[in-house]
Amino acid sequence: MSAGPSAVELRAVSVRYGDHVAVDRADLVAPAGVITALVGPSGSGKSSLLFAVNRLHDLDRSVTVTGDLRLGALDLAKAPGDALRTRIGLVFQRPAPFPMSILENVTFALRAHGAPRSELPGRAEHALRRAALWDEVQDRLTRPAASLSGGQQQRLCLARALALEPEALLLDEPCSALDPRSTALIEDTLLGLRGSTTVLLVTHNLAQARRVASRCVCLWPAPGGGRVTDAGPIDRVFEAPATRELADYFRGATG
Amino acid sequence: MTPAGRDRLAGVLLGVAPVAALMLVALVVVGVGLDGAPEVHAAFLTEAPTQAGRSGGIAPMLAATAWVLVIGIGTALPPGLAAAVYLAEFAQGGTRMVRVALDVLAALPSVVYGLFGMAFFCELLGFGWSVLAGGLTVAIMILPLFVRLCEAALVAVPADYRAAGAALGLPRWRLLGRVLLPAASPSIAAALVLASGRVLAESAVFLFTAGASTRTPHGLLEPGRVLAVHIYQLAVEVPGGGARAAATALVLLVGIVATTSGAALLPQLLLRRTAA
Repeated sequence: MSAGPSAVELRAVSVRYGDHVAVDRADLVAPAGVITALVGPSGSGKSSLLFAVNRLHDLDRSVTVTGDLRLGALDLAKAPGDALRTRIGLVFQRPAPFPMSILENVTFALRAHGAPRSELPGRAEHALRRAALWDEVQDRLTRPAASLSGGQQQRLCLARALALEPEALLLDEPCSALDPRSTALIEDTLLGLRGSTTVLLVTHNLAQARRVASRCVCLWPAPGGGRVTDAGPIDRVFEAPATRELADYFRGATG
Repeated sequence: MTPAGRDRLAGVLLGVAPVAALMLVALVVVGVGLDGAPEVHAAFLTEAPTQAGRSGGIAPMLAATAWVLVIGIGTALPPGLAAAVYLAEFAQGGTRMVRVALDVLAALPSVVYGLFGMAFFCELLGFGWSVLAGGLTVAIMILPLFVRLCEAALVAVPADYRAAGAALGLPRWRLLGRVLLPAASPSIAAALVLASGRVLAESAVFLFTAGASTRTPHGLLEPGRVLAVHIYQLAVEVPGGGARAAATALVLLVGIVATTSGAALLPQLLLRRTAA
């Protein structure tokens, strides 16, 4: 079961793909139990920074991550990757349910991480309810996940991540391919996680960032890699951004 | 000529190619069918040959073919799949030469494998002409192609599954066994069936390793004459054996069509299963 939310703190984190610097010495604080939006134009390194948090870059030997990354008191660089990823969930931009049933998609990782078989149905139901999907799938849990709509598949992927009851949840533009109704359901789910899960949300949808996030971190592309140019409470960041470029970006003039 | 006219002309010209290919295949089937069909009857499939194959049936050849098919596929499958999994999922680098070597081995004429099998299995290991030596040799022959096809099947599985598995902290072997291999299973099954087709059609390897005995093999170390070798013997070395060679070829043709049709249908069946 979850140990409760933990803050995500990054200090001077750089992400390099070979010789190319995607993120340059970024500082970021996502307070425990709070939704923090990570915004910025394409190419500013938002997703690269997000994947550094749960060490997904470990899978690609061409990527180098430096700096200090912490989940609460845990030094993320020193934690075993697989165990770490059960504490930091990740939902991708494009839903990728496994080719198995709806129920198995939610219980697969639980079983792999040793959850007692007797707990699986209850935990799956809880996760599906949190992802606002239970009412739609409760009578067809054994149907293939591929039979769900795109929006439902994304909520299934959200439920799959929530089933592990992570302390922090990372989302990489989770609604970019979804219709307004599915987007609203996911936003409701995220709002329901406040207080229980630390959420770091990458989004190009600035209105969405304002609807759900309490804090905002802004990344801006630069020749030497994306840099954090502003961070703070979301209303302050949007109403009094630290740079002219950000102000133009928020007004829709750039980006 | 208008763009639409050019499109129509290109369609017609390109359409000729598959029709010509189909006609060539049809020519073979009709030729073999006309010569062989009158000889094919129930006894032909259940009796042993007599008079050097001019009469009687091909039951021992069917048995020998089944032996080498089971030994060949059964032997090639585990290491082939393991090698493909390693190349597709675990190899970090430096495997280019391995792939080149596999491609070269896949392109070697089967007679080369036959010579190797005779020297290694029949003589060095002392198996003699036997279905075991034939099956093991043909396993080595189909292994390179099987590895490359299975590797391609695994590589074709969406990368999103791997990323999603990693994001859930799933051990790689677990993701492999429960997601990647099932997702690749239709293409792996197709590779298996295509490899089986190659075994069925092979003659040179078995001439060198399994022998040409017309008796039914009752054990691994007994010789046997596979269908393709029987066709060769009847057509080349038995005067008046042409009709029986055509009849045997017809049976072999039906077997190969059945296995390659399986290659086309099995993936769809497995896709339905893995999606469920």
